[in-house]
Amino acid sequence: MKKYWYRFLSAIQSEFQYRTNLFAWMIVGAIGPLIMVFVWLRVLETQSAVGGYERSDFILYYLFTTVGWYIVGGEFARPIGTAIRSGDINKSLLQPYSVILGKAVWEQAWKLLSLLLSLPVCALVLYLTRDSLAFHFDLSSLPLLIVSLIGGALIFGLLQAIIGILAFWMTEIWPIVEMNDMLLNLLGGMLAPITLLPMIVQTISLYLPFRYIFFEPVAIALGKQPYPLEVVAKQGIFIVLLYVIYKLIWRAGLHKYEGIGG
Amino acid sequence: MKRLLKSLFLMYRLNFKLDLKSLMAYPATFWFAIITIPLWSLLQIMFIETIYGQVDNFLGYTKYENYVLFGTYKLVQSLAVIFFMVQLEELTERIRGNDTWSLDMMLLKPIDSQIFATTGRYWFGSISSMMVGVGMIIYGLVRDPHMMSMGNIVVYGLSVLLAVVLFYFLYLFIQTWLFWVEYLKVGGSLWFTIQDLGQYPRRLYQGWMGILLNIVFPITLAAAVPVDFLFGRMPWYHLGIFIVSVGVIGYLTRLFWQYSIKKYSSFSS
Repeated sequence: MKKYWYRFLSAIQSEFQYRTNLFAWMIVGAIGPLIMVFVWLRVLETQSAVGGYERSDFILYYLFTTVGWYIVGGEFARPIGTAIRSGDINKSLLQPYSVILGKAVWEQAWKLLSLLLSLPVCALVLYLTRDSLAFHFDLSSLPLLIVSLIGGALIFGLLQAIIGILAFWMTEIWPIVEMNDMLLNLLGGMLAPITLLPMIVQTISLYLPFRYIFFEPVAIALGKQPYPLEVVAKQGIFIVLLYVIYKLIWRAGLHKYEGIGG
Repeated sequence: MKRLLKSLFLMYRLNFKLDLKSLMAYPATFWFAIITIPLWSLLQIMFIETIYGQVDNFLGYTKYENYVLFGTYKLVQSLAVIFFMVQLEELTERIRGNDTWSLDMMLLKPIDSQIFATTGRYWFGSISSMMVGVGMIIYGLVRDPHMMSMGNIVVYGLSVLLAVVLFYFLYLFIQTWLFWVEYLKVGGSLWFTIQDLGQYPRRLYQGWMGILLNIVFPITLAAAVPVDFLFGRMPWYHLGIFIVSVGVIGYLTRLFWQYSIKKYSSFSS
């Protein structure tokens, strides 16, 4: 594991080299949720709640999804695709080092730094909106919240890895990445709480892994998920399923791979 | 002036042919883009449906007026991507000298640096997104018909073109920061994110944010103003104010570009 730790440290150094990007990424990540909060607060001017979500819930929901992105999210499918196309994965086939895991570890550097950067901003938001906030989180759910966050991160990571290794067959994987991002926004609850979306979207989301990445952990954090254990169990099923799919695609991909470049 | 226009026309025509050839050389990329890029519109459609599942009128727009608003935004955004994204996106690597064309080489050409380095390439993958925008405008107008004169439609068309130019200035402004900060990889994402603020009604932004987004950097005008012209909610002579606003932003952006070019230390050579 030491090699991955050093890779993480070198990624941190690389991020410090381009500090402005960190700050700019934070702005990019915050604008979308901020606008969503504005929209819902304007809707709430004419009613006290929408689908059980009050003013406080909307503020906390988008705050948690923004911060949750730095814990659970990221994006490393494209670097994996590039590594396969360029032959960079050859070394991982000859050495005890996984390029896929390496890319995932590298991704954690900016996430950690962005998380640290965003904490003062979140504290400021919480302070400014303190009068309208109401927390319904039950501390006894904390262990399940942590497990569900880890589960969400694993589902997210496996989806990224699966999309990345499709580069064994496809010269361009970005359309799949785009589609995954779109589905994550819609069915993962980043656009709006899934329970507020049209019924057809809610039904589809039950059978796909996306809602278990962000929406369900955030629902637990908001105290809006009465069955957190069930959520964690479903996350476990998706993790196993995605891992099996990943392994099958990886094996099939290696059979096809010609190892040019690197 | 005539000579400059002629050389510009020749450059744009040549690049148009080259980009078309590149498209034909890699058709899979094009078709993937054609299919996947418009999917993002589905998000906003779902959002509109969700919002109007709760309210009948949102910030002065009925549901189908909001479809026209979002369709107009999509039209403006897609045109900006088709005509301006490629050059501005590649500026990042050109300044670093990683591209086949380094910025240093571009500055040596006997043509205006801003025009040569930031315009004249095309990305046809957004054509489908543009079609989705047009489709949403038509859908909104069919479901909620409005009385519109030919004048309304003409002024709408002109304001859409102005909005595309506004998006260009916005991206140019963001990318010009490349001369001042280290390797800014986030420029494109920042552009798309800020653009997205223009897809909502202007009244959404109030207080300091309203001043910033409606007046100082009027990104909200990109779709809202054309739609107001189309529905006759804004007198046609307000187009003059829009022209002046975009002109001032363009002038200031150009000053920023020229000042930055003078400070450019050409480290990629």
